Amino acid sequence: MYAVWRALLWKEWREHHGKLIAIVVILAATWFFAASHQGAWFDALIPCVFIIAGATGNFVGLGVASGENSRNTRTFIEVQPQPLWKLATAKVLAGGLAVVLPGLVFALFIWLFTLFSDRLSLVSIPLPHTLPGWADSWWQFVLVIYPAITLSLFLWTAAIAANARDEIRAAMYSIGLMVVWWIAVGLMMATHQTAPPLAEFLWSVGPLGFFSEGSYAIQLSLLIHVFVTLMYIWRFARSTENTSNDYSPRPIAILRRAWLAPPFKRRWQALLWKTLREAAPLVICGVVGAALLSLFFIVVQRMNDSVDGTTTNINDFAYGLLFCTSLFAFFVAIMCGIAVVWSDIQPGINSFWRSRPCSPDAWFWIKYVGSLLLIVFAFGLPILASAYLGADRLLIRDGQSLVHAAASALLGFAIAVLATSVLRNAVYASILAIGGAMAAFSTITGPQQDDSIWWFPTVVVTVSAVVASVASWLAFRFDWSLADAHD
Amino acid sequence: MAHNAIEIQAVSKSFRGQKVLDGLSFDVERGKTFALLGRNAAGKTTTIRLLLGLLGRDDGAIRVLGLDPAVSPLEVRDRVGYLAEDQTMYGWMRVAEIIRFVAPFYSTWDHDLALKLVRQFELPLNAKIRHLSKGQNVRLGLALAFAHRPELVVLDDPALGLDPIMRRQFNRDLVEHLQSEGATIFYSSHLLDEVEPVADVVAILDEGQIRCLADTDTLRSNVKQIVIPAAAANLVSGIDHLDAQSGRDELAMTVENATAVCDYLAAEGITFRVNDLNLDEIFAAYVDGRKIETLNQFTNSPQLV
Repeated sequence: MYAVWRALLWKEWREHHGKLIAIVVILAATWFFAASHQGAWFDALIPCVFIIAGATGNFVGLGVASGENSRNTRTFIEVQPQPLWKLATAKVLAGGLAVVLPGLVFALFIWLFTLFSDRLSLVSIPLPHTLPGWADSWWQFVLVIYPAITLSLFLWTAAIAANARDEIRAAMYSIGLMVVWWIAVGLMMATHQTAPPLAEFLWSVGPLGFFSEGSYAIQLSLLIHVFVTLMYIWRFARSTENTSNDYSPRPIAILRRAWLAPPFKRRWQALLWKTLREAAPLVICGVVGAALLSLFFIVVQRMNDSVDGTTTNINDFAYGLLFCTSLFAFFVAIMCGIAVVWSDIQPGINSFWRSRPCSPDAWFWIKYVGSLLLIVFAFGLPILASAYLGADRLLIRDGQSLVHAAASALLGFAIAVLATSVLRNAVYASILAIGGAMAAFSTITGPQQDDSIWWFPTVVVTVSAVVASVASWLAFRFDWSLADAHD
Repeated sequence: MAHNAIEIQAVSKSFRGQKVLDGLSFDVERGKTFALLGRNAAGKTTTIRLLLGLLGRDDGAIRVLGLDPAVSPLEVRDRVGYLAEDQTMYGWMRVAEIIRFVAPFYSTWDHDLALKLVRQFELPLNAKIRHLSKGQNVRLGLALAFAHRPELVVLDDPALGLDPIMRRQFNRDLVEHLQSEGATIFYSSHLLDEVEPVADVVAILDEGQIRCLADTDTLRSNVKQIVIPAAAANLVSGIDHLDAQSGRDELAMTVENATAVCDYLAAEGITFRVNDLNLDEIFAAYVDGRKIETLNQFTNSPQLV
């Protein structure tokens, strides 16, 4: 009996231990780069904990939710003489450890770091005032808030996207649903004069529910997370006949149609069409998400105006739109970076397109540049519009940050393409791209010694992105991830 | 125009020190259907990937339609139709979309022929590829491989996973669309009964080398099983054979030069009978027989001549 559990846990741990190491390295590197500016040692903990914990929890959850389907191993595990709930449980345990342990290792890293630095004191961390009352010291912040954020998003992602066809679809389902939930509940909370208990209750039963200020929020949130875990196990263990994976053949008669449109005239047109078809859903989701989040901010601002008697003008709205769009553009850039090469490097598809008379160089660069241009147009226009509308409120520093963010997003995109080309693993690619881009952004947005060369770090990041792009082109061209495939 | 569609001379290829092809040499004449037979991991797919310029060779020379695929891979692929083993295509594309997508890559693409093939193969144009059955998927791969009127078609275990009826239909499609037009077909497979009805020439690949190369009729007429009394075993010890199995009273030998052996046995006054072999049994004799023989000789088995 124990041998079965040992075997399942061994398999899952083998699939996750690399992610654990990657997360630790990214946490430490991001913190170190961000904190290396004088006086910013502990400020740097905030983005590390909030953004990296959230992103890694989400991405590891995507792998747990859809990894078996995307690797085509679901059928193999289904025919084993063991119930699937055992494997699902092993996945939750191994994935949970992979996201939680880095927080502990990171805390140890900080503690050791402070031992050897006489400039640092562990009691002087500026913690955000929005945290729950029980997280009032640095160790609680890293040791409790980090695992809580990452575990919550890991479990919710896994439960929402269980049995999705691949990681990209899983991301669309889970992130989309969670963002909509937060916006809906956030809007309710904005009307706090009328319905505080209901809004607080709803917040506490969703992802990150323990941040709610309602009574018994933590206990309720814990209970809900146990339920979410059981929901994932139940969904995973169901037969694939009832899941969303619809690869099965369908009757011909229903779909038959004797119409064939003319072919594309040029190769680049065909490749650009394919690029748009692959990247457009991600970009549309991102634009819609950014618009919804912006709308949320506008509504909240309006409600606050009516309560406080203040007036929010168009500049403030534009500023909110700018922030939301930039945030979504960053994550969409990474997702699109993965999507640029993701399907083309899968073993069967790889043979299919490489055996056509089309240069892999053209294939790569048309897809690469096409995706990048789509992102730039889709997000660049609203960003420029909001920057123009909110020009009165924008400071020079904000404009510089926008340039830094664009360079970092470009680096994230390039790292995502490179990591996907080499590793052929969407989860690792996401983690590495987010870590790399955040480390770059944290580094270049830190206090500058000389404001006259504010552009210099951006140039360095952009050059790094170009180098990563060239490396990914070489990896794609020479098929590094599949070089030794033969019969 | 080169006389041969494919020329392979002393080609070697290794992966991480493991030799997959070892001095491989053969030619494929234009207009012929050439079957490359081999067990799994014999080197069939590696050979095909070399022919298409998807892999670089370590040694030797390759010409496909007069071109070196390592130097001009895109030109070779433009003139070759290829259907991979268990071919995977973009599941999100519809049948019509993948045809439109692939068309501009080929300089000789015939869109009317593509539509004709789709209709003949009864493919639903509006269906997504992920919703096609295995048989429909193979037929779509064939339509994509034929629609640019290739001079050479390379098929890598194309009927793998199809049921016997689908396999028969596949061979019928092959004969109808390619052999009648005089195209050269390079057909790799380990399902021997599948290639037997369509192949003009058969090559048996084993451990990276060609063990046998002959046209199908010659192979069937030359390679036979000859059964003699076990008591006469010592009289035939000098005969070169592919495989030998001894029973209580009889010894069955598979030989390459059946006529010569029969003449020899008749001259020696040894009674014998001859059994015809199908391609499956011939293949087994070439690939397994020699290995068993070698093993038995090594262990001094008393059962073999």
